[in-house]
Amino acid sequence: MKPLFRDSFCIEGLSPHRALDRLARRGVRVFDACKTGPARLNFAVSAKDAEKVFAIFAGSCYTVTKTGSSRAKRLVAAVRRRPGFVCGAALFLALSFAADGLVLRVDVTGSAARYAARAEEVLAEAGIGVFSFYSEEAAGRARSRLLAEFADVAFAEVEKSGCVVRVTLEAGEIAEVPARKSELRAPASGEVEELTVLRGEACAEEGQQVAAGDVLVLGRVAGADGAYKETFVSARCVLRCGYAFTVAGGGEEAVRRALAAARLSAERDLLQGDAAELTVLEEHAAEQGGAIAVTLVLRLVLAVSY
Amino acid sequence: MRLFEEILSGADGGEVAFSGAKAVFLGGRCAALENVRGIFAYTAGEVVFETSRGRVRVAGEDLRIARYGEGDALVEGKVRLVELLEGEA
Repeated sequence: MKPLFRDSFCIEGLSPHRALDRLARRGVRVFDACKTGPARLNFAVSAKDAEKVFAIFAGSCYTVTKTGSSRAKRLVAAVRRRPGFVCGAALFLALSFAADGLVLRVDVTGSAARYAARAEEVLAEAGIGVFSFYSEEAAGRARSRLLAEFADVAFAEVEKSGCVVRVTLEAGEIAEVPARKSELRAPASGEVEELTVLRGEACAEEGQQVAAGDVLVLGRVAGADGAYKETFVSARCVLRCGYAFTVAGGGEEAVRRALAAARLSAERDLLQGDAAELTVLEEHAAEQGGAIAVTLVLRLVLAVSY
Repeated sequence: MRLFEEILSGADGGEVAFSGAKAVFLGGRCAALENVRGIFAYTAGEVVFETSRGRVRVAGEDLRIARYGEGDALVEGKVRLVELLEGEA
């Protein structure tokens, strides 16, 4: 491989190619030898062999002239002639590198930017402030502390752009945790067809007749020591119950309207709270003294789950 | 030049060290030689190298010696011919 730092020479004399032999015998490798005339030859040697060339041909019949250096060597020589420039450039690079890590300003943006003052304090406590050095580790700590500090902030980001630290705080809605049920009660009187309890204590059995308001599942569990511990209820119950509805009127058309009104009334009265589904199993209508009495047999599904 | 060792060991059944002229010729581009002891003649159209077993002539146009020393030589240019002039093959 050709050396990076080379010196070029021009040698004049009879049979200048013999000069290459002399150099080769003395262990000097020659590169880019090119005949430029009948008695002239240009060649290059490694910069470390340049002095040897003159020593080898001292007192010989050859005229050796140094014509130049490789570009890399010229560049190094130019740099060596300007030490102040080199030092200045190195100092500039070092200062630029160091300054890039410095924080010169902190900006707080976002929908929760009203907390800017406290956010800057939190950053300072985490180690990020004006004229301090920025680190990802400190930014991570600050991020966590910002989220913990402000209850209504749903998003917090700390990032550095140039010499400015940008803090983004976004407010989020505080969602209320729904209250958990501690018992399941029968909304109407009827027979328990199914009862599945995942959490809590069953207070009724399948096939049992219950009255409206009776507790079907209680929110407690027995511990190993026999003591009860309060908990929330998770259960499903299918209740077969009746529903009575009376409306004034008579005739076939009035009966149909009464049946429809009874169904609507049953849904309005029973499909609330824990009741999830209502199915009409049977419906009976009877005309009695200018009024229509409607009796519905319903299947009511009650469910409490989390 | 490992290829030469493989060729020589297969042809003569054991001569691994060959001190004669060895050349790799890329037509029209360059010629690389080993076991070169000197330069007998050098012009833009012809370079004659001396080896221990004769002379090798590299002919072409715009020839220049890109590398020379420690027994190796590289001739670049429009190399058209590499010829063994005298001595043993």
